[in-house]
Amino acid sequence: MNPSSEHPFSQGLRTERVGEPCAMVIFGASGDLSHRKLLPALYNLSLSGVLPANFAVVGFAKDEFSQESYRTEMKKAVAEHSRRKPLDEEVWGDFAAGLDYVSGSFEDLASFQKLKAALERADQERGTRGNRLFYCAVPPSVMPLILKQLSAAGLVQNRGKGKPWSRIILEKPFGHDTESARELNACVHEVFAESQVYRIDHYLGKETVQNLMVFRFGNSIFEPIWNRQFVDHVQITAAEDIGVERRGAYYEEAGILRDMVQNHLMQLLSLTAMESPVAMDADAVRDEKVKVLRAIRPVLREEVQQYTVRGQYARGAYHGKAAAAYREEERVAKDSRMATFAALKLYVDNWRWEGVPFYLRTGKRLPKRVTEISVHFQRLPHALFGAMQGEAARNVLAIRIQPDEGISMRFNSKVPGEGMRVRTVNMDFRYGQAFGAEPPEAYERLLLDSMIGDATLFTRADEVDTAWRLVTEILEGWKEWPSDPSFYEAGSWGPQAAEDLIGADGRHWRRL
Amino acid sequence: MLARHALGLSEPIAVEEIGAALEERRAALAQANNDPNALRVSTLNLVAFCHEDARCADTLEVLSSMVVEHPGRLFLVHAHREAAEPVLQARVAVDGTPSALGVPPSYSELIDINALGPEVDFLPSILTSLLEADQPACAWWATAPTFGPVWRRMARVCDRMVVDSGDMDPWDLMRVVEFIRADRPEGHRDDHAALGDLNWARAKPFMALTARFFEAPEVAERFAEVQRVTVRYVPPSGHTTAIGPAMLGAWVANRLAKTARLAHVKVSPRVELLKSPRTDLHPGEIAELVLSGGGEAPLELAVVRAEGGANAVVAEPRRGAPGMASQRLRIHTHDASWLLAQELQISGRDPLYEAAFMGAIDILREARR
Repeated sequence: MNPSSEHPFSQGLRTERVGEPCAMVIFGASGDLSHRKLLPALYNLSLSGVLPANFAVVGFAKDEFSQESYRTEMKKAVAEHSRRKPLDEEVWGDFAAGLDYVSGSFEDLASFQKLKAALERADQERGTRGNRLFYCAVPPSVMPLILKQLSAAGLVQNRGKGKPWSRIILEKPFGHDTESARELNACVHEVFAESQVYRIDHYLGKETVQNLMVFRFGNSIFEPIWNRQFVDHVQITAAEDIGVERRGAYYEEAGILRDMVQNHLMQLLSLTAMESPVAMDADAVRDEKVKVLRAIRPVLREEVQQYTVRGQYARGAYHGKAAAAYREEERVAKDSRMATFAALKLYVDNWRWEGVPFYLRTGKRLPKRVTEISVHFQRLPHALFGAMQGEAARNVLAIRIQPDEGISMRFNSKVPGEGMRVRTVNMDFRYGQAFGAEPPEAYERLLLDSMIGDATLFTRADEVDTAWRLVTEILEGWKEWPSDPSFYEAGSWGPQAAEDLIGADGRHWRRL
Repeated sequence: MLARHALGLSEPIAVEEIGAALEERRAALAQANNDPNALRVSTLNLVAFCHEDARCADTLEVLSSMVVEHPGRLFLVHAHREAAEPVLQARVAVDGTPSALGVPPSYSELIDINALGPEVDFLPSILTSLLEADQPACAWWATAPTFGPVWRRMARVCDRMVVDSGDMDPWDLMRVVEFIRADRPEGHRDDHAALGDLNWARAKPFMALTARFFEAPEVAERFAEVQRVTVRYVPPSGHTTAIGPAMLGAWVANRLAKTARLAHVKVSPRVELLKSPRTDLHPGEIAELVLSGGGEAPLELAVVRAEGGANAVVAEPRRGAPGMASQRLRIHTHDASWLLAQELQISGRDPLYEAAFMGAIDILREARR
């Protein structure tokens, strides 16, 4: 995937890929994401020796910082949030030498001219060769303005392929429904070709999500049974134990479908259900993911009560402490009907998955933070060993995304003794135990990929669009749903309606 | 939270009691750490041979630090065939690494075997029986290998044999040549292990930065202009040779030749080894690699060990690469566990190493003339 790795001098030498020389511009450089994720990720890449030598970062935000004070501020942020501590002064020194800051307003073209001058300086002083990587760590409402100013200031070069290159990384949410996503896509495409756009979904940067592809397509034993003939159903759970915290205003606009389902859960579903790509390159992988999304049977607005559950957390308990209801959170309407929980039953109408339900659930203020995909295989055709009933009779393959990443297989085993008693046991692979080393943060992987020009783990416009079409239909249906969402006690696994959704099919959610 | 070495080495036991002793200590460790569900993880068999008592403590330390990233079943083998009194005994330990953010605890097992006198002959069969099934097996000669029966047997049961050519005299180097030349199909794991070399891992930071020069188009297109490859090194001590610097020079020549073949041109760079007067480096260490050439537009690219004892190498595009910044890379080449970890990442034969080793032997022969 890295063209430079083909050079004879790089062959067989290292497994790490090194980014191409470039200057990275962070819009929203004084914000939380920059402090907590982006700068620590860049520093860790530098510590790992995979940042290019010719590299610079130019922060852009409204706040007033000098170059020196920005470096000091970011040093504090990195020291606090880097996964590797303590801060290595020498590595930081080298990294910080390429760290610059431009204070400016997104409305002001002159600010973008200042940015251009800073980038030209970086080209001369840091040898960044005119390559630009723009990172939009800003609300989506600001993106069109940034795009317009980038274009007006002549900061985007070589639309499409060629060098020097310009790329843009966009943070989620990418639109709030099909129409707005299309508008935003159109805006982006006025300035950048699709091949220059890197829409980030940090779930895709997680080791276990990447391992899902290795697990499926790097082993010969799973693919033959990965289909309707052997799989009874699939469950995907993304549970968070926290509430909306201080993001009440955002959540009142977004809700669980936009926050989790349109992006993360749809990505997990498509990786679970996709066919083998013809190659491990960006378009081949994304082509297969899009095919899955297109094959998902849409839940029509009049069907939402049959195929979906919307919930909202009521008062309850969280890790032994009383937890407020969603409606009692800061900047949340007292009569809000916004969903903080969703459960969906979806079908992928293709040859492989016809008739196999995919149950998805996600929510806030659930008992624990856990993301998992579980593939539930069909029951035995004949109960040879007596009363093996219900779910106990099934083999389950569980892929844990977070925390405690790993894979476990549930199978049946004879209980030692004279009788023929059978009990389920787990065969467990824990990622961290087997490999020991701490995995890199998702942002490290994704930032490095964007420097290399590998878009495999980023979402393409048609993926975003297809996912939005599915979710927007449900959103519309929910809007017309006359009653309040189903309330669930904070610290529980969601409303009873979620149990009923899967229970009606004679199944139940996996206990996590 | 688990503690490292929660249960250190046991009292000496007979080798046939190893399995039971490990079982007992695993259970005790799980109980002590209140972690009854913790799984024993085996991803690797690593057998370390140490024939010098003075270096065994260091070797044990290396194995202990390896378990974090390479949990598995580790062996430390002391063998002295010349000893008068026959001894064959073992000690075992179960080691838990602490749980850290995002990293669950992992367990490894250490088996320390002491074989003296004729009992040394039993080692291969003991080790073979104790290797975890279906996991990679690596034998590491922490001291210069004897190339005797134990070596030969281990070469049959292990996937990889790791030596340190920096510790070897010229005779031992010839044994390595014989081993590399043994007739094995490329990449095929037959009855013969692949060879790894910590001295090769030591040169890798220099190679990594050299490779980055050639990733820049303006340098890559001038590869054929490289006429001299100069490796400066601190003279090695004792009976050892400059095989490490020679391997680095041979690797550069080999890569230039490969690039030239792809471009259908010819290159013939001269590789020279020069002694460095630097006193901040250890004997045998590489001080500098310089690629130079060019006609009217001179080209000079250097990778240099940072001054003042800093553990870093610095890429210095001195002439002919105006747009390129210098780059510093931290190194861990004094850390044997890091060097060993580099070798453990490779599966199967390493043709680049083998070619560089053979090329280095030629360079050393040439230098002697």
